[in-house]
Amino acid sequence: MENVSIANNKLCGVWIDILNPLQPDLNIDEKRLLAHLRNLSAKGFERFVLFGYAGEGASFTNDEKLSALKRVISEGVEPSNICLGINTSAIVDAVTLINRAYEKGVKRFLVTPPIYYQPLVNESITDYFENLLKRVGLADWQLYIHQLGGAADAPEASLSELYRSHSEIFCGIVDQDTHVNHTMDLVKSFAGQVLVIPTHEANIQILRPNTTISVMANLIPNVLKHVLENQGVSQAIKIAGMKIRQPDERISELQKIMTNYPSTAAMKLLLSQHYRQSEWGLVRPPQGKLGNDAKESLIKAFKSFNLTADE
Amino acid sequence: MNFENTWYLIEWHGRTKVVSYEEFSKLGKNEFVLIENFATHHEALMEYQRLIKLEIADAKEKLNPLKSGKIT
Repeated sequence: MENVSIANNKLCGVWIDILNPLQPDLNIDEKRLLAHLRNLSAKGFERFVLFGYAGEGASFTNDEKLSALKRVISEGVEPSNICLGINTSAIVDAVTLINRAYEKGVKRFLVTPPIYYQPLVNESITDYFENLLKRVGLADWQLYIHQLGGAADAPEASLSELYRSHSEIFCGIVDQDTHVNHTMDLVKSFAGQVLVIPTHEANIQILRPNTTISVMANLIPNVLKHVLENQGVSQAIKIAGMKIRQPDERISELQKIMTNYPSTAAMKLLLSQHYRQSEWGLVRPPQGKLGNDAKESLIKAFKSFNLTADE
Repeated sequence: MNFENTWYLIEWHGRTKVVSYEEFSKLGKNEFVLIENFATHHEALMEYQRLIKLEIADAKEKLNPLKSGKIT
């Protein structure tokens, strides 16, 4: 197990918002998950967000998450390369999951604010995180707060207060909102304090971040890496095997294909085409399923996208 | 992850093949395209076999309209 000081080692580069393969009974297919992580690792991408937004994190229990975590770590995934999604309004569940994952070596956690009893006032959100931090009771871990957008966002006043009192643990804000202005506002408010990490790939060229958490990287990790590392500098550089399009255009094309469909289901369907394994298309309710017409249309569009294995 | 005893399914000069870590390590960077990595040789060969069967099924599907005379 890698033994590094966590304090000065914030998320950096492309972190993949890992999609969770399911069995026909909609339980996690740990074997297929491991195979997916292995393939990404073999391509040089070893940093994973497990049970985040794309990983349908809110749909799985602590036991399911811990079982999958145990499996992937025992098969060689470095705990230091894992950021675990914590998505519950029950503070004891959140604390239990953090502590038990920490015992396995995981020190980065992407925590969603409590969203069930909306609207919540600033003090309530601050109290929730203060309470969580106190109950976790650890010093060397990293908290990333997951802003889902709209009413689910933790207010900036709460985030500022948390930074003031826990700057050594509260390391970043992950913005799931697709609007670039939303992320820009966070960057303006927290520049030099906490890391603001965008997740909407189409905004990378504008925001020029050092870090992104990307669902598209499940499918096109090299494209994301290229865009992140060469943003705004070398529009002319092409990835080997990409005959016409530039990397940022590939992101736009993929974005266009997925527009109008439930994002997780759409991305899983595309991954099922990539691996030629229909099981990858399964989602656990309440994720929206794709109808037959939508599937047909997406598959047709994906064939035109013409994904190459080195993307 | 440690890849030393693993197996790779790759596309190499237009052909799909299974190679060991040792063989894989000797290949030039732009000489191949990585398709998938497997913990065992058996798993890699099974996937290789599965993909071949799917390609055969796809080819049959394409030929069917010709056979039935729908395409001239």
